[in-house]
Amino acid sequence: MIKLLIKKLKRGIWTYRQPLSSKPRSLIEPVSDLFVWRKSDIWQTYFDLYDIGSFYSKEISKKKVSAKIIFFNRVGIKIKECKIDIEPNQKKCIEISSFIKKIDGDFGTFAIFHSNVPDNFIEQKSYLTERGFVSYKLNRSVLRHYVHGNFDAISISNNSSYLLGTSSLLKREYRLQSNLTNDDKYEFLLINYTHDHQKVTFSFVDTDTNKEIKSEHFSMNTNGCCLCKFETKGNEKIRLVISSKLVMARPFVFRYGQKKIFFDVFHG
Amino acid sequence: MYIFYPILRAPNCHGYTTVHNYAPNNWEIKKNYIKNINITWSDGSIWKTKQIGVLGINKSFVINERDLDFLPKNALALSSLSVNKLPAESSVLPEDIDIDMQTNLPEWRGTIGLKSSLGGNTSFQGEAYSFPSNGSLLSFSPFMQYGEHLTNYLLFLSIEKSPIFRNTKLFFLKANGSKIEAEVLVTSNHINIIKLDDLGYHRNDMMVLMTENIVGIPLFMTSYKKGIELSLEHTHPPASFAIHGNRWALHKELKNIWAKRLSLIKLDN
Repeated sequence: MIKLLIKKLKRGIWTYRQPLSSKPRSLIEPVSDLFVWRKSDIWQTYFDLYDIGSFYSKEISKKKVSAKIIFFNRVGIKIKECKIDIEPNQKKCIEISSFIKKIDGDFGTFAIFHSNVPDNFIEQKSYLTERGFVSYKLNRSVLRHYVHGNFDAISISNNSSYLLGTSSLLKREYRLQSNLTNDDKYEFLLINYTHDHQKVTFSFVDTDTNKEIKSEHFSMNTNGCCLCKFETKGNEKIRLVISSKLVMARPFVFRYGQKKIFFDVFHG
Repeated sequence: MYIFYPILRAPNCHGYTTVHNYAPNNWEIKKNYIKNINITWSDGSIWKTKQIGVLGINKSFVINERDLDFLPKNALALSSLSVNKLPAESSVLPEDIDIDMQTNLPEWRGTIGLKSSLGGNTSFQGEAYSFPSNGSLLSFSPFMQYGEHLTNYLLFLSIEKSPIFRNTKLFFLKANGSKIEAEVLVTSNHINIIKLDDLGYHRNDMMVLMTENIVGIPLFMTSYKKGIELSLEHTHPPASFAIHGNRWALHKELKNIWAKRLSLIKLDN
């Protein structure tokens, strides 16, 4: 009994009032991930948009619906918003990067808020959430390379977005369970979905010696993001540890093959 | 729940899975152990397991599909980590009772990928569990890509506790359609590889996958020129369209809506 209590208390330090995602203010307010956009001479970003609400309609819905997209730059400042009409039960692949100007930088975040929140969500006291699929092209690649969303990060009320992430009481580690190896190059993109400014450390640890070989520090504004680059040499095997007060510092990972030319994207 | 890390197969590619013996965070698990690396597969009547190595603390190990020459052809290979030795043969999917890999933020994951000899290489961080044998599937997919030399595949991965190979129909619909575009026989405890390009889908069509009595993970792979480029991703389970509240009741409601739609379509046919 006492052992169980101690175990609960120990876990409580990490979980009490530290949800991954808070509840939005109202049941009619939709939720979105903060997806990452990249735009440059070599990057294009896409999003497959479809109306989630119309899947919940008992008859095949004909009602025209829309989604609002809000763009933020890397320091978390809103740079643009737009409304996209969607045909129910169809998808529309949007080139997200076409909305971004050169002055806005080469990476940042965006959120997608659906206008159609069906009554069944409200009846079940649930919130409709857009968790993705974003895709990227690099160097005019033929395929779009897909990755799904990570977080229920942000909601919207009366045209004004607000974040749902909370900060941890204690600093915690996110250990990416992926081997960094084979001469590959990596870019790790992390978002700040909390109301607090966040300091983040990326530590690269040699798995043979268990010693840190490199670390980099970043700070992120609320709504903002940071990008950390790393390159492996030869057959060294490295693992990444991210320390921060984010409840879950799960990064988007962009991987580039050097021995064989390829590009891959996934989340932690 | 005991975690498995499948080793994928796909046309013109070979699968690899990297298993990791370190926790994904520093607060959910306080102890770690040296672990056995296992490969488990079904022959249709029994689960078989072979230990292929031992993994030290803080180490990772890459399992290549090509190296598993002891597997029967087309067998679904499930890798796993265990503190205790798993039985060589069992009538239900084996599990390690003492394993301490239960994390939530995030789950204890492996790197599951495909690469081709032409250079393409794609992966995701994932894990898999056995599904109940009385469940059904509903999945919405936007992943089809169109263009010259592009090929789209569904890799439908099904794992059940029983080693028996069960067959059932996987129905392909369009979200705005009123007919079944295709029905394909799929088998439990397999990676079912289905080419999607000739099923009649177009650029704006939202693909809907349904089964009545089998659950699986739908993975979508697109390949350019037989593997020069590869893209791989899985669909979200429809329950993840909602957060908080009674999201499982909502999920059930959604499945009922689509089950009714499917049964009406079948009656029409």
